[in-house]
Amino acid sequence: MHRTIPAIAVLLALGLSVPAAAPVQVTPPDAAYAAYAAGDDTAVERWVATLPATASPYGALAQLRTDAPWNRMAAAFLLEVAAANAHGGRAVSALIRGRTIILRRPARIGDNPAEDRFEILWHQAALGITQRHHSITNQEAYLEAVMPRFEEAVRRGAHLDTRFALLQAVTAGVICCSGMTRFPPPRRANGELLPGPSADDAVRLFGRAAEQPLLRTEALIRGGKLLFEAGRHAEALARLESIPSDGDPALNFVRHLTHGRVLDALNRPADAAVAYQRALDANPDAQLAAIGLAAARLRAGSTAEATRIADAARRMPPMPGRGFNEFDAGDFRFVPAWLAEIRKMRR
Amino acid sequence: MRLLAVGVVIVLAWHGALRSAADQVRFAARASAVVIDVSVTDDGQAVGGLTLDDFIVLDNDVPQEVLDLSQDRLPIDVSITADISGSMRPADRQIINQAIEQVGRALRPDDRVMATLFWSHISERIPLGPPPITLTAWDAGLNTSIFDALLLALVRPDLPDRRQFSIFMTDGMDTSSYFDAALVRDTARHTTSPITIVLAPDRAPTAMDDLLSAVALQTGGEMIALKDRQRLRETFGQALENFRASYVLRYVPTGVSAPGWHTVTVSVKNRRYTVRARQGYVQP
Repeated sequence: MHRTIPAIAVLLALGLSVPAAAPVQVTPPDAAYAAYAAGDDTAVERWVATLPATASPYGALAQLRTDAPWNRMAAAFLLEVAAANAHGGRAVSALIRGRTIILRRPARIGDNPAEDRFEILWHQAALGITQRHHSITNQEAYLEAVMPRFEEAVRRGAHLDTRFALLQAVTAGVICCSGMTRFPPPRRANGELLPGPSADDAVRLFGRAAEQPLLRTEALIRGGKLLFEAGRHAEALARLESIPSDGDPALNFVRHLTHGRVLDALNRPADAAVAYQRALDANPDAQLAAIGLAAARLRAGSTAEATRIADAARRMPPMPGRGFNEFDAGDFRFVPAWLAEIRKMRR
Repeated sequence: MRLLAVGVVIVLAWHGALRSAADQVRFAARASAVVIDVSVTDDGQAVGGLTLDDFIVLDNDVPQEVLDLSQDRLPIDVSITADISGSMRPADRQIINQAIEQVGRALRPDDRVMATLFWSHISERIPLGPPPITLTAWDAGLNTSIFDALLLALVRPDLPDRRQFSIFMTDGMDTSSYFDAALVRDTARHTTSPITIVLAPDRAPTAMDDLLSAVALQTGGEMIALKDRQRLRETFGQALENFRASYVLRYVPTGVSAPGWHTVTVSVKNRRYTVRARQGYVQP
């Protein structure tokens, strides 16, 4: 299955007009590119901050043309442009252009470990940025564009540590079950609508991701959450309780909170209270954990304890994202570290 | 004048002795007794003067002997939770403040009141304490987490010497709850005090209405659809007075020892009256 979503359609979907429809006076990228190439890590960010919202950031630089050959510096530059843009449209545009350059790399994946590492980090950072912008259509299209290349390498026996398996599962989970609509909807060449993945597809993909040791904990947590939201409580419980230990602190809160919800749904309030308490330990100001804990204690018959916790919950300060911000950011939480590594490899 | 003063002293002494004795009974038997707030109204007006013999209580369809009945004897703790999210009109804020303050004014010195406001976050604005109360201006977010706020509102203490009453006001437009209707319904089965839910006016019915109504009925409270926002003060005040005029009924379950959910039906021999009481309890 190969889906083609033209870049122009993606931009239109994001509500942008095609760049250069109305000329805007902008500083060309030449000086920023030169400074970045000379080792100034923040040159791109500073330059992007000066650009009007709808301005094209590419100018006439040959290295940044859509038909430019493989070039680490240009790819890194475009990733910086994407990362520096709070505006989703320009970020995605830069990622599509950068991906085109990256995919022209002459060496096969598996033949040059340093270049492989650069490319993998680049794609992962790009996908993290699309997650930041909640751009599920672009996320899906991105994976469709790059996965055949990596799948072919794996078939040849290449060993690659990537997060793609998890990202495929996350993307399928959003499409199948979040209520988020893909726009424009992907179509076959004959115009026929392509169906999205089902909940079963997403569950299977999370299971596949969980087979990779580095992805296991996160795949079990996100897969368990998806199963809970799909009403498959027993399966959700099995996944969540097969997590060996706490890992990424950004995930622990959601792990335990979801575990509490699952146990609640299975009418096990005393056990749910233990899980909610762990969520509260992971994030002491998380009102949702305190609410779940208070209600579970009440249902478990500990009214006085429930009341004490409920009183404390009402006094908690508001929390951005209600404690879900890092979890919802997905791989965007790793982008600063990946960008730092890419900067070192850009020459 | 002197005669009146003596009379007041006698009444107070009698009231105190009665309350103390009732509390002792209530406290001593609490481990096995079921205590239920029962509202009896006739065309919306509270019915007073009923006695033990007027009530019929069924626990899992088995008739029970009512051991104790009291009315307006214990101080009240009132918990008010109000929706102040973006879907509520800015003009409503002042009205909500005034209505909450009015409840404070209607309370007696030994009563207590707390006020909680919510949007996607749930925030205590007045901690539990004696009346009167004054609310200051507040800011809120756009989203509304009704299920989450309702869960917290349902968690009330079970104190032998005080009655608990909750008022929950919302426009019913949930946009950001983390918890769900099933959990709210289940939690409502475990709360021992009634919650009266007031729905804001000028709103289209939503799927939320059924849940809110079910929660109110489950706990022995009622759902009131406000017709005119200017009547919010009066509505809060009336809900409080109806609760104050309700009866506290106690029985020790007999012939129904099974753990789990027990359905309780309370009625009065005069069938004209409307009776509201929580619909059951969970036997551990």
